[in-house]
Amino acid sequence: MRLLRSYPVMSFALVLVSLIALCLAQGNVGLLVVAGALAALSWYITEGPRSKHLPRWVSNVLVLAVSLHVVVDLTQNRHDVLGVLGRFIVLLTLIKLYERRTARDHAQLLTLSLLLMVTGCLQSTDLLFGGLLIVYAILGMYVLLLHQLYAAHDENRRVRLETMPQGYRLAPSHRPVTGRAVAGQFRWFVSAVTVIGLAISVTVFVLFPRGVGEDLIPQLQGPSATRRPGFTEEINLLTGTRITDSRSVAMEVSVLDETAKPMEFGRPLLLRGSVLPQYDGGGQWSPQTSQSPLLDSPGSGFISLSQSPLETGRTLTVQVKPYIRTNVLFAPMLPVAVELDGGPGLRFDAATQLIRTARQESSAAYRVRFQPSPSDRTLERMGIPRMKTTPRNFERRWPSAIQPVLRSMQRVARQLLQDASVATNPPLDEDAQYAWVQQAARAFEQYLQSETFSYTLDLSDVVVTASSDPDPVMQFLTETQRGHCEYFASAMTLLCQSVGVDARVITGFVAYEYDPAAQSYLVLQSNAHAWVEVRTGPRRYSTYDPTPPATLQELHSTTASITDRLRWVYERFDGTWSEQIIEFDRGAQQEMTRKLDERWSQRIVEALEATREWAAGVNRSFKLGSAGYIWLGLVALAAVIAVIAVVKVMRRFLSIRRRARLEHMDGAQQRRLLRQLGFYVDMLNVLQRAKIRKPRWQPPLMYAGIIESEQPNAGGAMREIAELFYAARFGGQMLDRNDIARAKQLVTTLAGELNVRVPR
Amino acid sequence: MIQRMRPHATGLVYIGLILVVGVVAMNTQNNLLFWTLGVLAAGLVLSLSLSALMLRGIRARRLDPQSGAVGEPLVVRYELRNRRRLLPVFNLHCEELPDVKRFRLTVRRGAEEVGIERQAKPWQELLEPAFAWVMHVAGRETTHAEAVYWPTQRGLVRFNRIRLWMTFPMGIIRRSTTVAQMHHTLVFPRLYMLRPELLDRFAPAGMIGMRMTQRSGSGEEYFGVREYREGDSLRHISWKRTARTDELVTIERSKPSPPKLRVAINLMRATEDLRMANDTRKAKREAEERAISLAASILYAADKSGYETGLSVLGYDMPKMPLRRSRWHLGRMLAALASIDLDVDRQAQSRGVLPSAERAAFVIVHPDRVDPGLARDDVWHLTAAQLESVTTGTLGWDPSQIRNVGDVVDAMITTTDAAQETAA
Repeated sequence: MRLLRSYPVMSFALVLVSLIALCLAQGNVGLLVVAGALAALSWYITEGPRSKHLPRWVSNVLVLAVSLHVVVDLTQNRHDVLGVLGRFIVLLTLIKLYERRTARDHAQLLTLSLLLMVTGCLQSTDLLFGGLLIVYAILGMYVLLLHQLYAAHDENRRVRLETMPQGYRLAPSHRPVTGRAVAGQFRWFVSAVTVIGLAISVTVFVLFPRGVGEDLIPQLQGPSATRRPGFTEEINLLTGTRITDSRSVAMEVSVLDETAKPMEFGRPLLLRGSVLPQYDGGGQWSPQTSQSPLLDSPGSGFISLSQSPLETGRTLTVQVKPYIRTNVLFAPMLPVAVELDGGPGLRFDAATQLIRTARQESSAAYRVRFQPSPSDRTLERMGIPRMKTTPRNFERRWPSAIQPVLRSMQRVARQLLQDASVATNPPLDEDAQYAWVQQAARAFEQYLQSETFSYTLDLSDVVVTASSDPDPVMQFLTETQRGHCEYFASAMTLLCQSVGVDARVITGFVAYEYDPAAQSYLVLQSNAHAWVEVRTGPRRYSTYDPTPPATLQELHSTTASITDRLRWVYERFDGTWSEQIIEFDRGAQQEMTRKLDERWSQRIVEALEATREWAAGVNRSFKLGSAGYIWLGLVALAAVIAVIAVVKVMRRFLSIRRRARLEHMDGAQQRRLLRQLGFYVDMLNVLQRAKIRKPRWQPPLMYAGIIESEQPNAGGAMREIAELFYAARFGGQMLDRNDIARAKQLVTTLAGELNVRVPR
Repeated sequence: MIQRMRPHATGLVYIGLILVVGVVAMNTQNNLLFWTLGVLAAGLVLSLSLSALMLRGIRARRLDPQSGAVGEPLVVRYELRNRRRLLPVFNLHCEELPDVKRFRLTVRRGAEEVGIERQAKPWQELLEPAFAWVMHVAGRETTHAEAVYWPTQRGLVRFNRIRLWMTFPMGIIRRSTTVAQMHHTLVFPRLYMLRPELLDRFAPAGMIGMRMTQRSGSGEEYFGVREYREGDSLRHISWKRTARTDELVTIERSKPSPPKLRVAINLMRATEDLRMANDTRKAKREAEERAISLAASILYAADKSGYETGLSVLGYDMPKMPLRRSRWHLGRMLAALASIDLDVDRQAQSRGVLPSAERAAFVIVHPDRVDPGLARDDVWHLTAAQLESVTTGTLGWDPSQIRNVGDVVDAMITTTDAAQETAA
């Protein structure tokens, strides 16, 4: 039978998918090649023309050897328990592939393939693995269902052959008994089961409470998810070892000159969103927050951010149309006035020069006036606090948590300063100190922009943990020397801070892609960026960007090869996958619930409102006054009762039609019998209640005889009912009202004899 | 129909896997594992619901068989009907539930109930268990499935309840339902091929062999003449007599009489009292069974060779079966041998209980030793130990060749007994 013959191939395909998936999850190309080749070879050897199999004892010895190997492997790779487990299951699967495969062996292979996928889930969250997981689930459903048939067929054949006496002249048939179109119906069934199964699985996925039981076994941790590019107010270098590309638009930005004409800014436009002066260790930076007062609003138009009138200087305007919801108003340094569509409700923090909306989140358009090169007086009038110079014993002010990191950094920083012929300690004189700060910052920036460091968004091969030694930033600086902008900005800021330079990390967006036709910059999510601000005056911060500019521009350039475009398409899907599936957490659950609540409550309110309006309209048209609503209620109640009655009658007719076997009859005769044979169904229901259900194949009169031998009264009543039924059903006799009443009386008698109630 | 559900080994492994994946998913908060958990949970939900729906839509009925024989396949057929229009049924197993105890059987003789009550063995002591398997029943379709049982002992088999079960679709749980339907099947003793010369020795042509009766028939010997009747063959017309009398005269031939053989089986001694070297009850019981088989084989072979046969069972209150030749008669004799209950008390019978004046060859089969005083002197005595020497192997035969086995079985079982069981 073709359906059953296809099972070994499908089963093999499923195992192959799981093997490939695990190798991809481990990122082990060598394992993929070896395991794939051995698996493919196993098919030729075991299912090929010669059909050779590994003897059981050999496979048992091999399993023992593999078990010993896993112990050795585990002692050598203690940090990679999942990798060892994965390789162990791969080897077991390969051994099983070379064995003779009975139904039980097939079941073991399916279990092993499932374990491979589960192990893969613990090691990877990539889109490619996810795709293979979905393919595995769908194919697995088909194979699992087919396995049931295959195993049962195998068992049936085995039992028939085993129970047959030795040397019997005829072998009993063991061909499977099937109905019509078995293959088509099986595929249809599997499709339906797969769709329902996927729907249930998605429901479980969405509704399963997140956060419950987290870190039950700290040693067993899953892979970190890939990270979507985009603005974040804080930095955590441990979240997402790989950042995917994203071409989704974050905002459109226009720069207007003094005459409100659009212009190109000339250099990358850095739009500040968050200020992070404090390193917490373990790759984490905390934002500087302060509760600034709400800005006074003079009405419509720009709101000045300064505390007193500013002297004139070159003032430009950025006009921002955001596509993301955030409470941050992104603006270049130094914002002096702001205008937000939708009215006031803004806060300005002079220390960080950041503007935020008072509301939670907004995507309203806004305009910000800024001075690219503000004077000291302007800075003073903006209310930016004056900062003191660095004292000689600045190390004492280091937070104790990050002192070891800063000390390590200091050694590197001083070496760099020596190499750049810059003093390693800050001078005491204020002017000399600010000049030294600029020299030092420039030295660090140049070092990080040198060819020693390379820019990458993929650090999935780097093992970094919060408790790892050295610190992630130190590891970047001294070991890996690969990373993205957050690593570069973190490294430069810590280098500066370690030698007493006041520096902070800034996150936001960088605008590169100027569209001359639209006369605006198109800022994408992938334009999210981190850079450094170093204090080069009592109130002044200068911008430094240690990320290699050439690499950054190349990454964000619009011209790309086909490979780049393919990669971009893949990463776009990967980003969506990561955002929607991998990062679906408790917050996302709550957000979804909130949206659903809003939508449903809105719909219910709308429906109720529409009903109310409809009732009012009807009431008006019939001029019934206030009592009209009572009448409408009564009519609605009557309609509901009528619908229930119709449904009950239809159900009863269908029951009579089925149980009296009237399906094949023509209309008039069938309608007549439907009206008359209700008592017969009542009788069957009574028998059913008395737990002596009449077998469908047994004629009622014969069954009445059987009952009669046990309970003469009940049997007698049943016999009379059966005779009436025969007369109407087969004798063509029209039962009159008295006959039907008599039949109903007999049903009541029967119920009484059997101590049950007549079903209503 | 009440459905029962129970997990089996695969199901327990599956549930264990769900728990492991669930714990690991919660520990790691890995969304792929949460989805995998969802898929596994979906498998469980689908397994519970679809198997219930499928089984609820199936109607089962046992169709066959009326009889079987030891050593021959006993094919029990089931009619399975899927009442649902859209939902096909896959991987359905159908088997007989074992009887928990021996059941009471009221035997009757002909139309008259003789009131003998005895305990019959449950079927699982007579047959090797088996099951029928149906891979697929489409919607609104009826399919027939077959379970092949191999009877190990003769006797009356009572099938009582049919169990339908399935592990489809996921193989996690085994869901079953039971259908009550009483059915009786008679398992005949094992038959052997008798040596061809043996029957000739029992009943050689002669006094009780091939001879002509005193009635007209289709034989060769002259019986008389009579006037011509329409339809008489021209070959049978006596032309000389016709010429003399000037009327058509037909020659009548005598009716041939087939050889006759009566087989008696001596079961007067209780099993424990049999005189055998091997003193175990098992060996003695086996000797009795072999004797029954030998008697049945002689009857079968004689009937096939054209003998009129009769049966006497000594030690039981069983009527002597007259000498006849028909399939129905053979069936009655084999059924009588099949339904002998060796556990009941035997009746001692004295010398001469067997007909002495019957013009038929006589064979008595003894389970242990020959008891020559039972009948006249020209009787052939055979013992169970001679089974191998007088036969050449087992006989593959189809019990359905015997007609009206159902009537024979019905004649043995009172309808009230069946009715009680069905009503229960």
